[in-house]
Amino acid sequence: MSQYVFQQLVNGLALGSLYALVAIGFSMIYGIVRLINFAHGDLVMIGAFSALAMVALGVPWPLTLLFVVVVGAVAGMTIETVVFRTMRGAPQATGFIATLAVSIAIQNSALMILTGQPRNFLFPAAMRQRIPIGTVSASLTDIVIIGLTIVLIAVLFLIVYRTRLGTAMRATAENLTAARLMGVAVNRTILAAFAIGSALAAVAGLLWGGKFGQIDPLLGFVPGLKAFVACVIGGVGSIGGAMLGGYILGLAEVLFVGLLPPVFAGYRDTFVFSLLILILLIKPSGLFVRHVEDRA
Amino acid sequence: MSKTAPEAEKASPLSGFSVAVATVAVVAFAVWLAQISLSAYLGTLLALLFINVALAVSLNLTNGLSGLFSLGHPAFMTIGGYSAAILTYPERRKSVMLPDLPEFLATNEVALFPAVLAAGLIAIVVAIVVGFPVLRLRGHYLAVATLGLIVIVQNLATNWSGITRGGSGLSGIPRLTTIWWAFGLMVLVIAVTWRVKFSSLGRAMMATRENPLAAECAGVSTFRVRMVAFVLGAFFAAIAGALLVHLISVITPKTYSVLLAFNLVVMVVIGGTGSISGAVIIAAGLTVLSETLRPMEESLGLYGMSQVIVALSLILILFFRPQGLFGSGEPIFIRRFFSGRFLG
Amino acid sequence: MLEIRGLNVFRGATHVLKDVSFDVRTGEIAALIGANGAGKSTTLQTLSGLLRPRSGIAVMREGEAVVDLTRAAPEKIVRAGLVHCPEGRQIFQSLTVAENLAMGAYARIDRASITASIDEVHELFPILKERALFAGGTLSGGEQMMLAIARALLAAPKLLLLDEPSLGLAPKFVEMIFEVIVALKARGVTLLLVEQNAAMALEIADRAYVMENGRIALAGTGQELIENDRVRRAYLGVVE
Repeated sequence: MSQYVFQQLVNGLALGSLYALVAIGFSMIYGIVRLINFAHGDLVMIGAFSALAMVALGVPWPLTLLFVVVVGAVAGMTIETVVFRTMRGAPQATGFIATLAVSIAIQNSALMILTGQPRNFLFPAAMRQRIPIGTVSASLTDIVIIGLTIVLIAVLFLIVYRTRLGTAMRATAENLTAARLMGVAVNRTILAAFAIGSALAAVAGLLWGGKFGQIDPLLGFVPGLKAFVACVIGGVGSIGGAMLGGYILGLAEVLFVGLLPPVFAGYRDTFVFSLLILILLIKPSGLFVRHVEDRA
Repeated sequence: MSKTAPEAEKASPLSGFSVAVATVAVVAFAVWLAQISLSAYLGTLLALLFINVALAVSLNLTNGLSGLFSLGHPAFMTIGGYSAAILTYPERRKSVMLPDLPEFLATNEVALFPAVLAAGLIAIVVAIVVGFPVLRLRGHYLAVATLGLIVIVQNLATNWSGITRGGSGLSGIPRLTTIWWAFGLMVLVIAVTWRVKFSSLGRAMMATRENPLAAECAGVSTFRVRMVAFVLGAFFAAIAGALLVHLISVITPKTYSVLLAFNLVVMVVIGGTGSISGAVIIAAGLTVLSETLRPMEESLGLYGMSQVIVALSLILILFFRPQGLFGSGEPIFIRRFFSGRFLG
Repeated sequence: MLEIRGLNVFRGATHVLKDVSFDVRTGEIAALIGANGAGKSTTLQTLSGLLRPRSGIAVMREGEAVVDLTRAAPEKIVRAGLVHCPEGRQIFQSLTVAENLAMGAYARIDRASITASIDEVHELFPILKERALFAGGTLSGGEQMMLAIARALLAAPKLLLLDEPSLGLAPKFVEMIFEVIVALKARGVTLLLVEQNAAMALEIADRAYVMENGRIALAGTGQELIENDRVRRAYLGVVE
């Protein structure tokens, strides 16, 4: 394989990992409360900035990662408790507008505190070296992103498919009333989904900063929107689908830019969102879901 | 009031119409007074206010009456803004800033009215093309698809540099929009929306909003109704976008962003989904509020503060008065006023 | 065991339950019969904490413990031993049969006794053991009903509310379900049974109530109601 193609693949997988991390949380939250959480992308931003703060204080990276996980989880739970819980049972549009409002509030609070000036976000120099793999090589940052994502997704699947909490989460997502009748304290289960999903988004923020080197308060908008696209590709509400959708989107985007003539490179977002509209049109339940129950 | 508004309107169509005309005349006189007495800044602000009202009311036509959750207004405003700006752009500036423009665009310089009309027509075409796939989607899927439309339009505007001059945008657009243009647009949008709301088309729209299946059963083509609402909204949005760039004299791909879509939704929701009076009042109020807060933001260095306040107030409204300040109707005194019944 | 006095419940603006009062005694089968929309399911949903009454009393007494059903959260009510097996089965289609059963035992902590209960329901419904790793949605209607009842049993109910267990089932399964109900009574479970199949329900009921338009219209032992003319005409389809 040529170095160029390999490089594109690794790049696409790394980008796909970031999308997958954001999309999984997005999908978990949608699955359990049927809410398109517009503020989800902003947790990516919160994650990135809390990492930056820790690094500035000289905290070692593993601790920073832990801190980001905690900040993401707490932020997600706060949003759920303060805003979304109060609006449970309201019409779909109301919920969506509320998440939009939360997103705008978070973004502009960040603008107020941090100003719109982009900041440099640098992984340690060691992370930027290239690792030879046979005749080709890949950047360590990309390898770490891909590796860490795989670990996190594995942990997530263990939680969701092998624990009491995970079973309760899936049960609640499918039938909230029946879950309550089983003695599930659904508010706590929903809180857990927000905590886990938001923590994943925050970690994605840390990795996002490391990969692209710059962060700003509006950084979460595009990943949030693309997470939705990833979910639509894989079927909204399905965790496995969201993960797959994230990787497909990441690879497709990189290949679109990498393999077409450079003139088209700028049209990347046009490509992504036209893809969204196309899929919504042809197969609104997602490419990998055979049937989907409709609770709209 | 025992009769419903449409009946009341029928009861005295002439007096209703004349009251409306009289109202417009009175307001126009007030605008004229304002124009001769106010500073240039306040004049611009007033024009901005009129355009915002037009935008909010037109979004209310799409979202409020028909229940479409479209966030696509900024996309159509961008399309309208660029279309009109390229048409009115002075020929000598075109040769410098847009040397790659096709021949027929490069050598022509159009007046504001045809340019604005062209902007509206282009938006109609785009809305129809986009509407076919997008309007089949429901609820938040439509919302996200229309957000995607904003990103697509911004992305195209950034990259299609032969026509749009890319990310740096067009500046020095002639300031052709007077307060009267803005006022005229506002009156037009309110009049059209009002007529639509109290017509059979409006009832079909509201039926589609409340229960699409039942509306279909009653013989309403919900798709066509949605399309009409979407296209009308897009037409007005494009005209507003076109007038706005001729007021502030610049346009970039980011001039009309998602934030704007949010603020328009705020106006509709706080005013009351489907309430024209509500949209008018809140749009005017919000414009004044954010202009008053701006100097404060600047002096404190807290950019974004007013937006935080707006977002938080929206959340509070959703908590305590989810139907909006005016519900989906029009306050009785306003209906009575325009139906001419306040006289007898 | 269950004491209900003057219960008034609204759904939105609709007054669904009007001054409903009745009792269920420990160890017996009580049946609640009535037409569609009479308020039977609403009664059960109120008792399990899904709906809150506007006024009235609903308490469950279990030995020393007294639970105020009008205030306690659903999960507390389940833990106290009142288990509601809802209408239309409502099993978790995407979860495996084993996971469905595990959800039934969600409120319990003692693992050893959970395992023992799972063995018990496997004995009662062997098909569930065979299908343990299949998704709930792949089961037939009758099997899903068994799963729903088994799931409810795993919550270790002292008082079991069964909402239309025979609805839409083949006669073979209906008989089987009723046998299970009688067997549960023999094991000391108190039951409140909501049924459209009034004949079968009254036959096994120790105590029965007829609900009409949100009120308790008639009360008596199962036998008394079977012999009641009004019940015979309206619910048992006897033409005289």
